[in-house]
Amino acid sequence: MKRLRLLWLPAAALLLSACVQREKEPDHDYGTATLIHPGKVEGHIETASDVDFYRLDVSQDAILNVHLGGIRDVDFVLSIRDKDHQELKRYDETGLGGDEEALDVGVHPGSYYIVVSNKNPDASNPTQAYSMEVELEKPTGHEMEPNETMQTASPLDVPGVTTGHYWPSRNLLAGDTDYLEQDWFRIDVSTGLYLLNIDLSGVSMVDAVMEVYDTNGYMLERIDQGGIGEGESLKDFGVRGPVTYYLRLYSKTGTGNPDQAYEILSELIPYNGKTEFEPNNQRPDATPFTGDSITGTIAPAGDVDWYKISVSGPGKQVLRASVTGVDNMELTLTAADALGNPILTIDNAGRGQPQVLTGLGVTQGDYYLIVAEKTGRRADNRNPYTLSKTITPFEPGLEYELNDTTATANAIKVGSGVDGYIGWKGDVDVYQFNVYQNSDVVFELAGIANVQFVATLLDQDYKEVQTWRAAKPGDSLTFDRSLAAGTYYLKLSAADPSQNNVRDKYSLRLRAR
Amino acid sequence: MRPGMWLAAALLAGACAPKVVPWRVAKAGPVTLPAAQPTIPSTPPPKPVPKADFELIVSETVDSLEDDLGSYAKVYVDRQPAGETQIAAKSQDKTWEAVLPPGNHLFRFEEWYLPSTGDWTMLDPQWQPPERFIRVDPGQKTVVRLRFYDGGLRNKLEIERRPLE
Repeated sequence: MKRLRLLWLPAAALLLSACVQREKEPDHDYGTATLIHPGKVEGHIETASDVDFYRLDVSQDAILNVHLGGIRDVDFVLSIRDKDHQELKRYDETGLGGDEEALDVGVHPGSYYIVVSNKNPDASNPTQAYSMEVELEKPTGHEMEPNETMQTASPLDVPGVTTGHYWPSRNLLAGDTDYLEQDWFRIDVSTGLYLLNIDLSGVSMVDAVMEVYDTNGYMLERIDQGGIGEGESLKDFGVRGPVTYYLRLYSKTGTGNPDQAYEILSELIPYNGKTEFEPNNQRPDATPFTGDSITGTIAPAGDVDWYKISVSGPGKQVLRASVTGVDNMELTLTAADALGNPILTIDNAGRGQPQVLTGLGVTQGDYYLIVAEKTGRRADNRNPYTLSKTITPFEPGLEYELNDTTATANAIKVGSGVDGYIGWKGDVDVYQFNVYQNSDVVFELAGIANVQFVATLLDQDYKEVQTWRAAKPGDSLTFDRSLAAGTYYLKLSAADPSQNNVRDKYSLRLRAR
Repeated sequence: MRPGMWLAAALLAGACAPKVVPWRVAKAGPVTLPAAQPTIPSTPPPKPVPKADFELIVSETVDSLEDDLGSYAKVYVDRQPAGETQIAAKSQDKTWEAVLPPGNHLFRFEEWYLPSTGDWTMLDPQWQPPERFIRVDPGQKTVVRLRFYDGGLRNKLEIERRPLE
């Protein structure tokens, strides 16, 4: 029994030494490479110019990770090469005595070479063994280096989670791109209309940038909202399958982090017409807006969302629209004609407030509503806005915008009236009426909150006859004037161009005394 | 030179001579001509009215040749029919002149169209220019230019006064 106990230690040592693979010199080229398998490997840097080749035979697709522990005096360079001796990645992140690490190298059945060399010409440490851990893991849900170009992009599982690293911090094989380390992913979408959502987790020390490209290499989106250690997010990106897109990730500051992986969470949602369909940043890509409401987000900064409205029916109609507020953002709402020319921009309210288009006269054809953030510097893809609209037949007795000039004046009759809005900052409403015989005409204008009315009467030669002003905001205005037979114009506006009221209509009545 | 050699030479020359390839002419298929522009009815411009102190010029901006069909405008002065312009394509200037007593007259202009098929149709009243007063001054000619656009859904009226010649 005692003899058995004595045998324990050497047996254990023998077992342990058997788990550690050792370099077999000479191993200075591909032909004499030491054959290894995943696990721990030990070797020596016998001279400053010593180069150690290791061959790893892979039987199925996998991800190769290698950790090379540093030793005194030696400045390691770690290289991964394929069976054709093509260098796939090179790692030289540290100096003397530092560790080197290869992460996420995609391998396929065949032979690969791990090459360990030293950069310090004065290195002299032949006796200390270096230790190298070689690991193979399943490739599912992993980036597969090298994926520095569209052509070598790793497939992105959609929907799913894909992990990767901003590593190495510099791509030493990409001198033509200033050694930029970038990760490309390919997204294949099957037939149909979808919304693509991508969430990229933050990684400490890294300020990430995420870009989306089409197959022609044209950049469709650039997302860089977060700072160092913060993630990025792409929401409601419209895709029409079958199509392939590419995602490009890189660290803006050139820093890497081997210890923390990023995660790409992606989902593909069938499009239901209730949200914007990005990119919709210009007229040809406008999202069709057929329902009563639609949601969207302003992201990234400078995002502009176009929505297309088709008006059917032969008569006069009135378009009303509103967009809800988003915290910390001042949104604007613009109505444009079929060619995309702006007709009217609503910018009445401040940050976080809704914008309301009280009414725009429209006819059969296409129009656009455009939502944007006023400064072009803010973005928020977590809090959507809701854009709502109604299109109703025009009713006599209501204002028909735009009626801000004598050329576009609404015709009214003495003995009747009209209801309208001072609906935006600087709104001017002009009405045309005829006096058929010399009369004393009385004008009655009911006051509305926040608006101090100014009324100007013009003759048919557009010359000012008289101007009346309410005493203060909210006051009604009643005045009369003897008029000879002729055509006249009444121009209504607010005393201060910033005054407006999207909630309350004013009422204007004309009668002959 | 032996005859055989002459024959061989002739054969060789024939083989090396540029070949004449028959030119194949494709048989012409049926040709489809674009549809003929419908004939736009027109009437001669009215004769100039001597010493006319009022002139109306009506035209329309059209988006395409297919839309440039016949039109004319009826004129009502002080609620009475006063005449009409000639008939011509929408884009053409159509005129009406008159001698009117000086004063502020009530005018109404009524636009009519001839569609590609069917009879003359009046532009819907909601799109017609509203009636309005226009002053005729002594010694001056009042020229009114009425332009329609956006398919007749919008119009612009401009008034100019020139010394009467």
